[in-house]
Amino acid sequence: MNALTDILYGLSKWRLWTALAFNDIRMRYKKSWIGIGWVALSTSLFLAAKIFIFSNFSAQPLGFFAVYLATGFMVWRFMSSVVMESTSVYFSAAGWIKSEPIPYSTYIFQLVYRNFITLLYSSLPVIVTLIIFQTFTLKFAITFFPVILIYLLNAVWVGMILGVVCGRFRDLAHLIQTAMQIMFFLTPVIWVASDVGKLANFVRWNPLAHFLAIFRDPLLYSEYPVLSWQVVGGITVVGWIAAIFVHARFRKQVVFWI
Amino acid sequence: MPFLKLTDVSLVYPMVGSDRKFIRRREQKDPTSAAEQNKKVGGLILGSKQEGRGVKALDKVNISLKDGDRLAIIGRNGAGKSTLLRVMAGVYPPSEGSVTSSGKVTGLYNLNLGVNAELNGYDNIRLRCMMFGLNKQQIEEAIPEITEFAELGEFISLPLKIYSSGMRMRLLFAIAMTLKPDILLLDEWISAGDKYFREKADNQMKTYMDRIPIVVVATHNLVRIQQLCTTLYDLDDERPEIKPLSELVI
Repeated sequence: MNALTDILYGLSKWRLWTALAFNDIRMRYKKSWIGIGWVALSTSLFLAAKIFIFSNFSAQPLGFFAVYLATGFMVWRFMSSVVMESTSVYFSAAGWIKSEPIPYSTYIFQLVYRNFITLLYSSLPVIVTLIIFQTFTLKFAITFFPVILIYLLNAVWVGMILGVVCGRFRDLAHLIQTAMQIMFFLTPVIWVASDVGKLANFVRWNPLAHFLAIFRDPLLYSEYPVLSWQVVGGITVVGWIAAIFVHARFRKQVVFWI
Repeated sequence: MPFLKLTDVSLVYPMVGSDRKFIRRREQKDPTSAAEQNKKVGGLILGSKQEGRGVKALDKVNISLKDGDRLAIIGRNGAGKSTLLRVMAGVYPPSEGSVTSSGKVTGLYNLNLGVNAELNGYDNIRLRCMMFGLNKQQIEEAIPEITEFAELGEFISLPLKIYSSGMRMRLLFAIAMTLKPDILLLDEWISAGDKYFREKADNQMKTYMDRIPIVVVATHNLVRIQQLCTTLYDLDDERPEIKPLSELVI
């Protein structure tokens, strides 16, 4: 099976990866009364606390800041957990990989789908915030889906690359997890670029900021960030090419590393 | 027609990451005494620049199986029995040589692989059936047959982590038998289960097994393979090859 067949065959096993993803979520919230509702609940509490505290540090009006932070935090949480979980995606699936000859991409789709479901739940309090501050527009609702699709597309290549590379080099997994925590502070999630003076110049060099911008800018500034779309588009294409190469060249060795 | 063909298959488990420290330390020791220590088990530790670093588990294996074949693989611990089954299943890619096959494969290796211990019996049945490639309707049809064969009563609704190993074995065995694979790979499985289940399995095994075109068993139990198998592959032989079971000396 070559890499592309592996990806397409994996995609065709959607019943399997959706079932695996649901099981992951069920296990995570097992025996709790609120269950997956915790995603929405914890996001709500987090947002309330962060808006309450960090709006004091921002020159922006409360409504703007609340929407800015709610959307930013939701997208950040998705990106961050995709990257973190990708570093161990094949380790988590070791029990299956070592016994079933099914395509490796199945486990990537499982990871992405699991995070997609979490994203949908965490979007509930965000939508509430948008409604409260009257920024929920039809225009936004329409752009929401293409942007989410771009996120999912990128999550797949991130999973394919990090899964293999971190499977082989364990130190990299730890490094990337630490790096993501640092990136939280370097990415405009809890701070607004225009509030921070010179630091704002660096934002455009942060790819994650562009991923945030394609979601947030139409909502907050009613404009489409052309530069950010170009950067995200470029990253998507390059990422996928690299992922197909890595997947083709190294995925079969993964079983020996995990 | 289902078939399975291994041509000059070799397999080296690579050593990566901090495992390499072992090789570096080993290079400082006397290699002949190391070889002496390893004599009681199979598998060859490779540690030189030329041959790479890892454990050589299989060396130029040639096996060709067709409809009706029942092969027993024997050999001491570390000889490569389980590795060979995984290569046949397509789980491990061979380092050298090629594996070609036609037909659906399923294998029973150990009780912790291919299950999710947090999930109950039904969910595990569904997952394994999906992995095998059954669709939703086929799975719902298979479930009663599997639960009936496994006879786990209400335990089928409980998570596998509270099962005893015998109970897990029953479940996995029942699933494998019901899936009707073209090629069935069993790793030390024919002697598991309690007396009751074994008698039942014995009675039904023949009926079930007869429906499966190719069966490969890796085992130490030389008595039981005589009831199940017709050919033999001994990994401890100098030049292993498939031979009739009658050549087996107990």
